[in-house]
Amino acid sequence: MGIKKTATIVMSTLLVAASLAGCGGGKESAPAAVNTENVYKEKYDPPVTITTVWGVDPTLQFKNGESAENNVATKWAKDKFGIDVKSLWSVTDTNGAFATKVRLAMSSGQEMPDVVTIGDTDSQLAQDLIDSGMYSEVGPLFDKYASDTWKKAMSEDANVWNPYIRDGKKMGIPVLDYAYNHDYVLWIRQDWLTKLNMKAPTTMDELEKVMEAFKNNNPDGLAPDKVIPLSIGFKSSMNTWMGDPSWIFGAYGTIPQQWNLGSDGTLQYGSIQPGMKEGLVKIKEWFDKGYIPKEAALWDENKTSEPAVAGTAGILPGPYWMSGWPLQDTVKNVPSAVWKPITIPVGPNGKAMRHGTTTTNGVTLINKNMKHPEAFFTYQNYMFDQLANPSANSEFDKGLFKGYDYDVDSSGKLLTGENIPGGYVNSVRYLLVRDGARIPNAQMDALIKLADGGKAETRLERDIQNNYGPLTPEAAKVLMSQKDSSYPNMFTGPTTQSMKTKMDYLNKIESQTFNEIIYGKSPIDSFDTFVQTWKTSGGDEVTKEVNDWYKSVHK
Amino acid sequence: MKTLRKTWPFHVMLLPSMIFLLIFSYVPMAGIVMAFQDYKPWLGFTGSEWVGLANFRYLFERQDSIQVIWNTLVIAVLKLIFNLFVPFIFAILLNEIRRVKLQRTIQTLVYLPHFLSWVILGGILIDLLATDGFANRILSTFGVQPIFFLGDNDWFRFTVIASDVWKEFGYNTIIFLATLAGINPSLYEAAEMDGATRLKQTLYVTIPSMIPMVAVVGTLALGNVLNAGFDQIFNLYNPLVYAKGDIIDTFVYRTAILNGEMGFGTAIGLFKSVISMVLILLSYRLAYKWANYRIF
Repeated sequence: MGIKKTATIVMSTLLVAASLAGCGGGKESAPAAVNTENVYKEKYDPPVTITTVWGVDPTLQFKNGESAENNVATKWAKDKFGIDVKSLWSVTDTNGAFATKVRLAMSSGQEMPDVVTIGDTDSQLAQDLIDSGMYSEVGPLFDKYASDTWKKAMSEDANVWNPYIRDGKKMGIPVLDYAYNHDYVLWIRQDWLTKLNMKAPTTMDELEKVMEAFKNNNPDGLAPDKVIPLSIGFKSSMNTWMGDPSWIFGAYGTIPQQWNLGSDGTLQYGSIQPGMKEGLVKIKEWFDKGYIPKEAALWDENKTSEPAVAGTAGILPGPYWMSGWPLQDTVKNVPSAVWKPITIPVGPNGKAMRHGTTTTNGVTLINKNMKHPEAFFTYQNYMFDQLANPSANSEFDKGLFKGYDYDVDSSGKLLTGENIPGGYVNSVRYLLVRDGARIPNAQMDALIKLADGGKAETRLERDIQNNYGPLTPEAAKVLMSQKDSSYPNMFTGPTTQSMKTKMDYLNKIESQTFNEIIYGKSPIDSFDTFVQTWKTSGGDEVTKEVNDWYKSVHK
Repeated sequence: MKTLRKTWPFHVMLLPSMIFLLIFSYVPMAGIVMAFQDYKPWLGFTGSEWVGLANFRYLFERQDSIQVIWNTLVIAVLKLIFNLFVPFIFAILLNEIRRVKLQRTIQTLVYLPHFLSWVILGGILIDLLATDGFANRILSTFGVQPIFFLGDNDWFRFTVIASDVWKEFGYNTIIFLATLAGINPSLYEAAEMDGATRLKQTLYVTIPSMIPMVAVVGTLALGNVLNAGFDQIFNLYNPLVYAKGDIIDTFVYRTAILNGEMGFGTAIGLFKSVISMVLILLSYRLAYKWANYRIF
């Protein structure tokens, strides 16, 4: 009994102690050291520390026993710059785990990282962090320390700063992304066109004739009810990526679900413009004729690609890179299938509109208490100068880290992908800022060069040639031929007060009305009622706030 | 005091769970204050602005909030009823099968869908229930016009409830089968002696013996009466059926979670908890009164 008793007590105590130990850790943030001298260096000796946190993509792999905290990139930074990248914590980023952990760290008063990059999917978190006052103004730092390459890349589109401006102060450094990544072309079955002896449609009328022929006179001999001439879906939104319907409204002068610049210089919500009604009439007509999927209201983006891959769809709207994925699989089902990118058809007035791309993919914030903000610029400047679009004599000409994303065999031959001993890992994700560094126009420039028959010389060009779909350069060329038709969402500011409370309801009645009109459950005139309801149910307030913001950043 | 000297090791053994309960269930209750605040994580409970009942007012101010609450109640109550009676009847029928192997096989088969996630089932159902999908092709052989199960306001709730019952009834069936196995065989023997038929035995022995378990399962399920099943609805609904399919949880997901509006999310959570607690207390009373059964 005596031993049993003692054991019980010991076990219970241990259990409690162990569980409480997990709750430890707390405030230990040091006050900022005031540094007045010009401290920007190419290499820091003694080394300086940058603290950060990681949301690790679940598909990201590590090799040689490395981790997000300690890997080839952190060692490289230490050797190259004398910068010690110290991780406060890392978390596998599934179901928004990263954002949750940052929020928890923020509310429980834990030490916040010196540098943190927040992706666009967590844009509200970025805004919250800025509003928390824990992160410092970055405008002067950027002006003082950023390299010319970086500044030039940033100036390609002045709007990239807009979401992160507070009272005229730049509070976060936008993470640049490639331009036109979310601009769309139409992918069409060229083999069907050829067999029908038709040419690619350039206007809405021609498009209708082509869809009619695809359906009722199908070159592959498919029965009319098996063919989906135009694969689009409305489940998520009328303004999305694969299977996107927004360009149909674009033909009538508006892009739904985003803020467009009106002729009077104010921002207008696309979904309530008169062009919407014409677009809806057109889509309803197509729906009744069976040109679009019967279940379009239930289909999300990936679903719209299924008939395209199965070989039963004629046209699929989407990004220029789709010949790599998912369309490359079509030939497995229909060996004769040939997809070609074509431009968005123009409407009755000869104009086309497609939704454009904002060239950012998140934001990097710099802590108020960071002792050496200049060290971050040392690191990032190098990335922009050497990695973003490396010249042939760059350290990164062949790839980022030897033995990780490329290797060289004994005869000097470049090894990529599975040929790398121990396998390929996407080590660019180990870098301090997501994707290392991207210059918005670099990718399109490279693609156009390849499309014009240029040889792949730089790493970026080789990368595109080896890893992107075979038709990607051609699609990029099509995309750029229509770049005047690109209309990005002009509102990129923080969610406004009435957006928080009203926008969900407005979106809800919008999708409901549009889908009911297309499915014939409501008359087309219910669009006018919707516009009235939209305005009186908070839409007018939202419009006012959006325009106040727009004026504040475009003084 | 004397007993304590003898039993204190048990109290020590109980201690860890009590501490856990305190830390993970009682301390977080303080978070309820968020429901009355415009909560900002970096300001904390003490610094966030008090907004009184504004979060609750917003819930009821939306033009569609009554509709959303009504949808939730209708879907949840119907699910509750069918998830109670379908397994109840199924268990009694299954129990009549005398071949143990067959019984076990059926039991396992109906239990299997319980382990599938709605994300996967959602994709499967969208294909199966399409207007030219499997279900409609079978119906068309009987001359039925194609039904738009997931896009028609008249059919959406039916589809949701039927698919949920199909997925979940195996779980309660197991509970009821266990109850059936626990009925004293001498009751049946006595009934047989009195000349009761199989049907009479079921009506007067089996069913009365199962009522307490039905009360337990039903009462526990009532706590979920405002949970109409987020995973399921979120994967199946679409703009065409917002009028009949949008529920509190999908609404909270879009407004509170996606926007990081913690105060509003907490307010709705509190609202749901209070209603659920009232219902649980009520059903506890009813179960005691009618079935003479105390759960706690």
